[in-house]
Amino acid sequence: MDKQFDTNEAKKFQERNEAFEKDERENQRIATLSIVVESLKKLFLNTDVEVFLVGSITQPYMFYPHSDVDVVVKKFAGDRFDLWTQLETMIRRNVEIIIFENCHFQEHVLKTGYKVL
Amino acid sequence: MEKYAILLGYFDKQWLLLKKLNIQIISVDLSSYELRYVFALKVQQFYTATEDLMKQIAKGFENHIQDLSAFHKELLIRLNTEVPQIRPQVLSTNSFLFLDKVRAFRHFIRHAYDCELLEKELTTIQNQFKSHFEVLEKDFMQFRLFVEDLSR
Repeated sequence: MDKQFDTNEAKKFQERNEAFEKDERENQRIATLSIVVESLKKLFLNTDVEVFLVGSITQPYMFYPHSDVDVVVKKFAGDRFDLWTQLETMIRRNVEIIIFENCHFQEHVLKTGYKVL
Repeated sequence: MEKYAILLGYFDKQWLLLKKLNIQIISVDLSSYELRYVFALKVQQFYTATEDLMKQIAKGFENHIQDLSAFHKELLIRLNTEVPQIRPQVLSTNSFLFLDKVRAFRHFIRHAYDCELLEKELTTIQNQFKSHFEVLEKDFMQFRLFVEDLSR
């Protein structure tokens, strides 16, 4: 290098970039959460099905562009993979549908899940 | 055109594999707990082989396929759509819906760390293979004729 490189300046630049990306990611999570909740309400309004969201969609700053939306359904008697494809079409993101009754982390869902319905 | 002759060769090789996998999938006895894992593996292989064929088709006619790894459904949506003056629709809506469900099942098998393979759910998928594979074959064979015409 011809002249002294300012490492501190580079660090500050990276930190600014990181903070910006983090905020963008969080805005995206909030927007996606709102679309997901709205879509699930449309699908399950006036039914007995209980719906929870778990995982990164419920955690600030943890939801990335390639993250799936994890949905837990309780008392759901329909076809899981029909629901899966239907919801993906509505929100244009990968989802994962978990059946509460067969789920091995029921307690975690009830304690920390975001209850949609 | 050489490009399409190559695609045709790949098409035929892949289709043979898909036919073989379909026979294995519809023959699995799902009442056996152990065989449900064989079924899940075969369905996963089936979708991956179909997706590879669809990727080759997309590559043969389009340029923008770089984002498909993020949202696999996008490739299905694309092949369910005609590209005016470039290529006809590859998948009918029936085939699209069938493959979309198989794709969701593959995602479930690939990503669930502790998944329960329920006979009822798997039987529904198996029945879909029994009733939809012929439609899929018809769609792909129709598209194959189009590629064959281009390759001459």
